[in-house]
Amino acid sequence: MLKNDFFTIAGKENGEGLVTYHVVLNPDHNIFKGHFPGNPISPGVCNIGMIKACAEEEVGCGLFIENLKQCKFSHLITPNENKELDIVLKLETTEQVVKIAATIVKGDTKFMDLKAEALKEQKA
Amino acid sequence: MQQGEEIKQLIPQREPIMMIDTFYGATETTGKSGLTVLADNVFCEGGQLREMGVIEHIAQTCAAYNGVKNKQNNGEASKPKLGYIGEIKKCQIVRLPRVGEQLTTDVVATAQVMNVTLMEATTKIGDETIASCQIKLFEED
Repeated sequence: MLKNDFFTIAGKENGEGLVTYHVVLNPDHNIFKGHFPGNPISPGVCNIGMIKACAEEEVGCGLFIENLKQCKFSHLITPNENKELDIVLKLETTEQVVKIAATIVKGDTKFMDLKAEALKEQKA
Repeated sequence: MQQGEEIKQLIPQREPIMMIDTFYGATETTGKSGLTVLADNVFCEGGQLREMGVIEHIAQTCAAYNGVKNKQNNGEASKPKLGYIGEIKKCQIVRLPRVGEQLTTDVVATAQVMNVTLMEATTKIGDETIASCQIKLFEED
């Protein structure tokens, strides 16, 4: 939904038990016109959505977040100043469930962190 | 009750990310909103409102509650303040709403300190609870 529209994935790196997705926001996206007029800020739910999209990329199927255990927003993401972001994922995958621990960072700035459980979606 | 364009008096969000279409009113500590899921909703995919849409709907219900309080405290002409989600906890989504279904969300303010409001939300379709969460909202001055 958001991928290749609200943001694009520019690359990824595998670390020890972690994977980092480099993403780039699209400052011209319509969502920024409404959130907020003349003062574009990435909605918290879109930050969650970007994490989910990267996790889907990683596990290779759609996900349904049924339990968002905790999600803390420590810094606002503005599309012009914070266009490039790193999404760091730690995933635990079983047959049906994916446990997600994620942060959105850039350099020394942490924008948010999240812990969630998602169900794999069966899609063609 | 506020509907349609009147909602803009209560929340700072604008199209295409307005996720409430009705506000039924607020008491000292509670608020209630509604949203009918339309096919062209920015958070719809495959005929369903995705998690982001459900959570944003809850957040905007909290924002509308704050908008009403703001008018009561600072006058009817007061514009809605910009607000952000600070934290979400224990957010359970039972199922995703389908296009055409109508969500109603009840929020209860459990604590308010300065510009931070802690709220608990329950979202239903008819009598069926489809989501619940705790949410912390920041408002700008």
